[in-house]
Amino acid sequence: MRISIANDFSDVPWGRYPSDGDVCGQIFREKKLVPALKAGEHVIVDLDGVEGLGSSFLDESFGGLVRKGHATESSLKSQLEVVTTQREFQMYVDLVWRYIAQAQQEIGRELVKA
Amino acid sequence: MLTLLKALLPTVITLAVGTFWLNRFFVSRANLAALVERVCDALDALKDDCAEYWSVPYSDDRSSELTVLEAQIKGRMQQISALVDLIQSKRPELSDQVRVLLVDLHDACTGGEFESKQRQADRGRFMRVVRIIYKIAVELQRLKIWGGALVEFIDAQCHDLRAGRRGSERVI
Repeated sequence: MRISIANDFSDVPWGRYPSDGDVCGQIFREKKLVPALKAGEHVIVDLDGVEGLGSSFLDESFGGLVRKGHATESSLKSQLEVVTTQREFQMYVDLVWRYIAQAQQEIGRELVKA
Repeated sequence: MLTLLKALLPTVITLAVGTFWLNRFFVSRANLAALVERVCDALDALKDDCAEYWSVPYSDDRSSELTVLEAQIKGRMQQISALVDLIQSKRPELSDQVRVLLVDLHDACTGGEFESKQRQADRGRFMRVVRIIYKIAVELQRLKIWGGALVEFIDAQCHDLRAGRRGSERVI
């Protein structure tokens, strides 16, 4: 399944929480990413066409998948692909995987504490 | 006359080819210097935007102003990323560390509670932005192949950046 953030969600994604607006990271995660991942499909998220992405949006959308228990870093590595043809957007792809890895580490640390 | 021409021909050709390559070298160096200058300018502007944005918490009164700043910060990040891409395509020896630093910079500028109504002032985040910007400027200076003159040029361009940094540290 291919999800284009610009076409299927918003070309101006904004903020982290619903209190920040209807096109925030949390809503993108819950309405778009989680259903696609739960369906067991290979999910391709296309970043092309957005006007810009904040790290807060990316962290809440993708890091939140791990923090909220919807997926693990290893499951996402096999099920999720983040793509762009815009060279200046490559940093967003790197950030997505960084936030997923960081969220996994957070979960690991919490488990160790517990 | 013909003999004289024959004797001079190799010299003329050597001079023409030499001038062509020398010209090419200096034009290419000047283009790269201009690109670096633009990156430094954009980094400087980004630093100022981040200082303004992260030094005060979100407030409804300033929401439209903050929205503009948020868009500006994201736009500048894209501009810097595109310019660094361009430099790297011309000078592959520019270390990949710069790409990592750009990701760090994007995280520092637009992470945490960026674009959130719950955002608080975050001086630590701003200091992180300044540190990363300085590191990127240093990485650009490491392009030794450009020669000492260019390194001095970059240094001069980035001088204001560093001076601004010290100023901002006092303000924040």
